[in-house]
Amino acid sequence: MSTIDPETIHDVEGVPVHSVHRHDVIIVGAGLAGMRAAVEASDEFDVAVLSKVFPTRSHSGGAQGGIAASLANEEEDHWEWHMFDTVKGSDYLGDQDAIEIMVKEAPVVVREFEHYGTPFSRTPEGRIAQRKFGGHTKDFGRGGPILRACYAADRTGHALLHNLYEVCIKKEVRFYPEFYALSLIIRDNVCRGLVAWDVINGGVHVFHAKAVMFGTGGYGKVFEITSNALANTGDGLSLVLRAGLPLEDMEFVQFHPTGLYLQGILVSEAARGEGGYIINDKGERFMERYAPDKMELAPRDLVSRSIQTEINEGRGIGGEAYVYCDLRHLGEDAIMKKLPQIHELAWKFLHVDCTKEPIPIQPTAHYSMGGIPTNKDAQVLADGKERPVEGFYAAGECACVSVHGGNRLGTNSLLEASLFGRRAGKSMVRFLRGTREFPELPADAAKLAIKEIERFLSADGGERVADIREDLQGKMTDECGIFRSAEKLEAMVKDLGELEKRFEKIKIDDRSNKFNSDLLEAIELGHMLEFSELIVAGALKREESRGAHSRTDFPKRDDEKWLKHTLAWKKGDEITFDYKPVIITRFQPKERTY
Amino acid sequence: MATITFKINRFNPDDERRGHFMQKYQVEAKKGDTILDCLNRIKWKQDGSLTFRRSCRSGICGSCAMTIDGVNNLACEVQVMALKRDTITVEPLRGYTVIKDLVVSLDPLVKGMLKVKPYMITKTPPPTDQERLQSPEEREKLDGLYECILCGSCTSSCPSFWADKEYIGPHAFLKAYRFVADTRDEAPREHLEPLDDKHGLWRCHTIFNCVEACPKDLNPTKAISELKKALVNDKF
Amino acid sequence: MRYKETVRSGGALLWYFQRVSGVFLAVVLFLHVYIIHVALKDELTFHAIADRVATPLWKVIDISFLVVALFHGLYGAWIVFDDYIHKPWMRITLFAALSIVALLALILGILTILPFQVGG
Repeated sequence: MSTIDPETIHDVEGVPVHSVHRHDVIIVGAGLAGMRAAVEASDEFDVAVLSKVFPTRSHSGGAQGGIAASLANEEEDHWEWHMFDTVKGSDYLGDQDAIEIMVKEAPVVVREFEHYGTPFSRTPEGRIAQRKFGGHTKDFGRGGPILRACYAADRTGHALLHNLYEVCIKKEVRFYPEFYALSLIIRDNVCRGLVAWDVINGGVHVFHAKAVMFGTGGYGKVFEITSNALANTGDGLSLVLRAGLPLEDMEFVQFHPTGLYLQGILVSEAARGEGGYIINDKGERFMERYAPDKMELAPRDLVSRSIQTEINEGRGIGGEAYVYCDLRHLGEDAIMKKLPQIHELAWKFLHVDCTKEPIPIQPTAHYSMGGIPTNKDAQVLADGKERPVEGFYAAGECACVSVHGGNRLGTNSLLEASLFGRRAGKSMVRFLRGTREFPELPADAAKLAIKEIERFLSADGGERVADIREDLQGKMTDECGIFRSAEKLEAMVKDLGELEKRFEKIKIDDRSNKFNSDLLEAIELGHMLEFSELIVAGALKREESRGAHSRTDFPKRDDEKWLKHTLAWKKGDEITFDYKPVIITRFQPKERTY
Repeated sequence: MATITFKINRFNPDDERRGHFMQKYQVEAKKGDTILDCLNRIKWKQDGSLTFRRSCRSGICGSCAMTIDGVNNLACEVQVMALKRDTITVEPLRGYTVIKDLVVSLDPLVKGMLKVKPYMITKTPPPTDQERLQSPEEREKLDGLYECILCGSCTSSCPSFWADKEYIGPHAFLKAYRFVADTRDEAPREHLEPLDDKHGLWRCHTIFNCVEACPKDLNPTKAISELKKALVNDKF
Repeated sequence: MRYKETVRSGGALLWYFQRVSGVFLAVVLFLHVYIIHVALKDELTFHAIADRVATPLWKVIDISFLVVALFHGLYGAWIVFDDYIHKPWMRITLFAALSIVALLALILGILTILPFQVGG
């Protein structure tokens, strides 16, 4: 615990003094973004990292394929090419100034990881090995797929995450594992800390800080079939909403083409990068009808829609909702050497030996492009456009810079999380160098959080949290999934209203304080219901198809009306919208074909 | 579909007098269901107070390690039907302090790991604008070491840990060897020396339980014997 | 420097010596059995054995056999106690008991081996 100066400590109503902690920087989330920021800021300042799970349990570890950087270790590559691919992949919704920063700094960030000790796979010359990935091409899309994704077998996220945890240990970063953030303390546009719940022992704690950073991850868990962890309930996003701040581009949710059938667990894009085929019931490599040039290596949104179309038109395997990912022609040696984890996952979760049988796959909700609007220095924007909230930062999947726009390219996520995490760290250091004082802590800082806990702990209605959540996930998948329409989305708006009414009547079985995961699941569901409204409302407003957002009633991209970012606030039950222009520097929008 | 009886070893910290007790639940399980799917179904449909850790459900986060029919494993990786039993017993990992039901304290895990300086130590500055070079053969030495997900199954299965709660533990030895074996690490001795300790390497009697228990099929015992060799070589 | 490290050892050298002594014991045991039951041309009598034990070389071999066997066995026993006994007084008692056993066995062994004389 940090030392507390009795003269400046502020009492917080309802929270015992020993539960008020003070650190220069509080980071929520111990994934790639959070820990990378911690590494950056901990040389000079007292940094603490809060996480709802033990740090290495964060879902960054689930990333398999790689981290993009134009290192040109394997073949010619330039950051301009990487930039073009990212812009095109985003369906021109990505902000090009931010993308330019990302692709330029990418080699630095990846090499830094190597210097920290990440066990990257190697080329024969001993350099970091790179592989192909969907949407990454040579020569501004004119050449074929390029070797750009730096990898550690197919456990890249695991290798990076554990490496960052190791560096955090080395730098003596303070961890609060299994602490769950309940609310932000923002007054007069100054972030003063946050309130959190000690999961193991129970009890509300207040964290008083000069700077707070969110690296709280994505919101894939609102969908039924998802590659996301059970923990990815997007809590950070609705905490930001509740603090009166906007969220950006929430309607853009990426569906990954290759999830294990029914489980949704990810089969890495590396499977296709290494040459895997996707085939339908007739045994056709049907991607030749949708993306004749890039075939299976077309970007994710396109491949997912193609698979879903095949399924919808009855060409799923045996008419069921899945197709095959076939690796057999790669040979057992190549599979075991380059894709060992895919082999393991297919075997453990479907009992399929992918060296001998094709893997049943279906599209799975994978990544949230939308999130907390930030600027290039990872400062959270109070108006979503220019004015930052003092002392509040966000990076990684929870944030929207926006580098991914309407659709993220594979391997750009690990890059974005670590790169903008690093920038957040640097940005906080700059801020702290000029800030001596802790901002004043309001006495009622924990009031709402305590009320929320009390409300749930005494909840005694008839509805089970899990039933409401299942209905939410099922409906979001059907009505706000890969293919959307006004009709479906309007139905979803209604459904959400009903789900929220049911949520008011939930009951909780576990009323204890200690490790009460029943309580946490209830709080999480509250968050999910809250930001789902923004996904649906944003999707309904956006009358076009762009990137991962695909409207059957508006199948074309409409640059005239919709080349802009959605900003949405929630005030009471009202959702208010605003829009901001996309920043275009080098690449003018063109039709997006692969 | 089959009805499976789950016997779960429960513990409520608010009712310590009752202590640990077994509770039975009936679950309808189908092909493809994992133990975690079934536990979730119990928690979501029958008894919300049943407590366990879980997150990724794809065997990479390491949250849901528990003892299933006497064997340490990740609940998300065990197919119910593959066990071919009507009754399945689920208990918290042995050797650790139980916090609640299937949730155990990870403190010994972290404590053991901190002792071995679990990070790469370099003395020379890295090359600018370049990675450190490492041949594919040198890199291959790290295979089977860097994949550890810190689930705690190995240390929980180790009789030396049962006897000595200060024991550094196989997970930490594996971590130490991951750096000793890394050609880029310039101070293997700093990882080795803390192991030459009363609670260190010499408490390992090559029982191989850790190898049996590891859900990722890693081999901490082999890492331990390599470390023993390295330490003895260092002494002469 | 080197001396200091040896002193600080948490058991590296003992662990190593336990392995070396194990190998040594295996060799000497094999030798012992071979010489008595295979290599001996004459009838197996007390005198035949006594004549051999009386030579200085065999005295050295047998005494080192004794010392190493005692170390190996008792240190092995101590490892087991060390694992499971954590109460200080119990540890001291057991260590003292093992030391006394070692000492008595050593004296008894040496007293048995030394008196054999050639032609006696």
